[in-house]
Amino acid sequence: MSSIRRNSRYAGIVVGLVASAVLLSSCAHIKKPARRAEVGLVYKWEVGKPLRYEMKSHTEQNMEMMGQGITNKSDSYIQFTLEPKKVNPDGSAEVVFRLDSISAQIQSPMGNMNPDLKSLTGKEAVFLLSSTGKVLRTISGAENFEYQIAQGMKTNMSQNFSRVLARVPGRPVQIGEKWVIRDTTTTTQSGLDIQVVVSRNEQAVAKEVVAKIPCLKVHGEGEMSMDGSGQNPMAGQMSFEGDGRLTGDYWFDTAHGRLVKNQAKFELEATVAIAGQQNMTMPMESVTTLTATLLTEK
Amino acid sequence: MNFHDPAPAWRVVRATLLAVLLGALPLQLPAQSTPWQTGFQSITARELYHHVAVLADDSMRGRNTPSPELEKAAAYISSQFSHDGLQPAPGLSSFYQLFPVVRTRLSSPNVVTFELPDTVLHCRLKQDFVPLQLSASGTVRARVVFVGYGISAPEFNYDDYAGIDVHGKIVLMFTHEPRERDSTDAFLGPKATEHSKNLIKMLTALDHGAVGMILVTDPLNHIARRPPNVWPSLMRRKLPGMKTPLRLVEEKSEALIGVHVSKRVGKWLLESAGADLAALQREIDSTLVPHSFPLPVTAELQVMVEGDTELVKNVVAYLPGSDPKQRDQVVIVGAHYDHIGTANDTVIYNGADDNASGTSGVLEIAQAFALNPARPKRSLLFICFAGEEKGLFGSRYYVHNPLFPLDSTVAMINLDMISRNDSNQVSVAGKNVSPELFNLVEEANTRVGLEVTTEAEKFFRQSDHYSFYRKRVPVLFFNTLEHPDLHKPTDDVNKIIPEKMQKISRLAYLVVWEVGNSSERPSFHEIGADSKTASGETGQGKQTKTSEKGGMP
Repeated sequence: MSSIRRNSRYAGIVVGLVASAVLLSSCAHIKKPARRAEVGLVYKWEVGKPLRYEMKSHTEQNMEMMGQGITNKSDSYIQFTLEPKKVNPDGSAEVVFRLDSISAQIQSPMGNMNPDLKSLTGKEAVFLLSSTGKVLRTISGAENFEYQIAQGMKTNMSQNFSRVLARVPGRPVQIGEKWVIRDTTTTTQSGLDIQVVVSRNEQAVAKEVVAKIPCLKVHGEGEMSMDGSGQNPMAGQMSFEGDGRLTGDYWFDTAHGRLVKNQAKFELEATVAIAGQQNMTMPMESVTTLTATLLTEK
Repeated sequence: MNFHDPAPAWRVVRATLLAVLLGALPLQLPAQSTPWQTGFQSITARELYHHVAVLADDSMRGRNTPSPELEKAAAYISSQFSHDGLQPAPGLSSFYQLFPVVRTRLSSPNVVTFELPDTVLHCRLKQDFVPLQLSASGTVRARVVFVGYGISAPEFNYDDYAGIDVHGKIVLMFTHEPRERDSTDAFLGPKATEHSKNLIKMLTALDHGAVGMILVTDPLNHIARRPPNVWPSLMRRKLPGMKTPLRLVEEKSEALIGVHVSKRVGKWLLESAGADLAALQREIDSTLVPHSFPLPVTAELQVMVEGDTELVKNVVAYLPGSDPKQRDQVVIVGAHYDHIGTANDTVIYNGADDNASGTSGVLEIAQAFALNPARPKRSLLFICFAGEEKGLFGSRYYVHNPLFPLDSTVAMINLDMISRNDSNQVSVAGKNVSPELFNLVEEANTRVGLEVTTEAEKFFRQSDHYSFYRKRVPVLFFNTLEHPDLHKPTDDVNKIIPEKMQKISRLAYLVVWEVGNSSERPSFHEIGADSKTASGETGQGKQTKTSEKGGMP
């Protein structure tokens, strides 16, 4: 029967790409070099003071296959801990990222996909993070976060989790002050090498109290573009391009140098091209909302 | 893998024995109650299973259109027709009806402009417009008419074309369908109906006389601002070896130039008439009342595509009718024999149910009529279509290049997915198209004993009978509905129910027998139209708006 129901096997691929885009786009990269500041927007890593977070995300994705639209939805929930092990004189720190719990679900017209993620619980990786929240390099353990997202397809989420932190300017700012951040990042997802370019306009909006913690609220809006290509284990040769819009707020505890809350919305219009016998060019759009919240201080 | 099929020799021997035994026995029943019996009994679960096992074998690699394996499947079907003593159709020298498909790529120039009396909007390729994959090549210039979602859906009491003349016009429409995210019954709520497909929108526009088509992404439920890119050549990163989209080489009467525009352009077009893009959609969705109107805009659409043509095969067998006065009329029994190939050249989609099962049914029914001593008065055509999964390619080609005139085609019986789900249930669509035909199903079923439902009506536009319906041929669609293995690698022969296929194939055989012998032709009615014509006539149905432009081609 002429029925457009092939999307489900590509849902995981594209959701993975979108998730990568969302988490990468929520990062900031300062134009100016980082420098230590006693106050202001800068992370103050401290050995013996781990930070525990939860993150919820929801993505709704519409794909067009042979002129018919198909909608997929995905939800994920994770809890993780960031535990500094060593702080360097320049303010950077070796930080252990530990995944405390995770669950995810993908809904498609052809049924649900539930990636097997339980094996990732308790796994750790170590990153070198700057005082602006940037991942300078992965020190160890990235291989611990590889998982199967769909039949015959694996991906690694280590890069994504480490970038949940909002990027901050790394200097004092005043209420009402604006700045522009630009970032170019290359990541590998679902077998594709993807380059993400983000340009985000941010502004320090106000001082607000969140969960009884005095914070500085920062609002950001921006655009991003993605380009990628490579060999996906399931679909074969693929090419991906997209353009998106992002908007969001984060609340930063300037006194203790820690992220308290991060909320973002990301809209992406993209095209996925698959070579081989299937030979399809599939337009898609997705909307992702993400919230990361500081839980407790251990 | 070579196919050694011992079945044909066995079938001939068995049929001969049956004929001898039957001839030696005194007739217990009146002759007219058993003229179909031999053929009926020859349809067996064992042989149906065998055909599926062959067609859905891994070596067939999913029978994609086009592919060497599709050729192999065509050869198998052809050999079965030949073994059974069937003939090529008049006008063909073999069992193959060849039709062209083309891999298209964007050529140049592609230009879209919109004109108001004092303004001209020049659109940029990719940012402002993208040619549809279905678009014909050429240039069209005409006034623009907004037609809502471009849907004619009498089953939902909704018609964007009601009361508006789009002959010779370019139609502007939203993508998708009304109340896309609404959980109410209208348009089945969040589950997309066939009306949301671009192909159906295009065919509907053609049926109403439009000469061009413009899509704009509906704003309330979709965030995309740009037109979706469907051309590999417009990607920033090109894939080596990427093939271009496959399409049917349509007849000129089925060619429509179409583009998808950005929301910015869509907004501009509607503002020319004092309307708002989002407000219009909101109004249509809230009331389910179409809001179609002409715009003061002249559009010129120039789309240039070029392509490389390949030939694909419908496999057709013919059985002449027994009555000299009626043998010029034909009943068609059809099924598509293609599926969707492989993924990454490693995962094979065997398509046992979709649609090796229906193809097997056609083979067994053809054999049944060939073996049966009595022949129907009308002639029979058995057609296995290629390219169904690509957009009803084979049947769309056939209805524009029919081997029998369409006004001599009394009925078309389509088998698509007949081997899964409840072991004693079949769904038959077409009741509202031809009540007489459907009544034959119910009468014949007294000899088979299936539970017959009409759930397949919701898939009415998704298989080959729809091509015949569009040409006003009475149709029936046999289907056993969706299942979790549909269009997955797990649609394999080990999951089919051959006994169910036997019942459905025998049911279809009996229906074809009755249609082939009836003195009256079944009537045709458009979906949603009153079942009685103004004069109470039966036959090819009443005149409607779609037929005024030319009637049967």
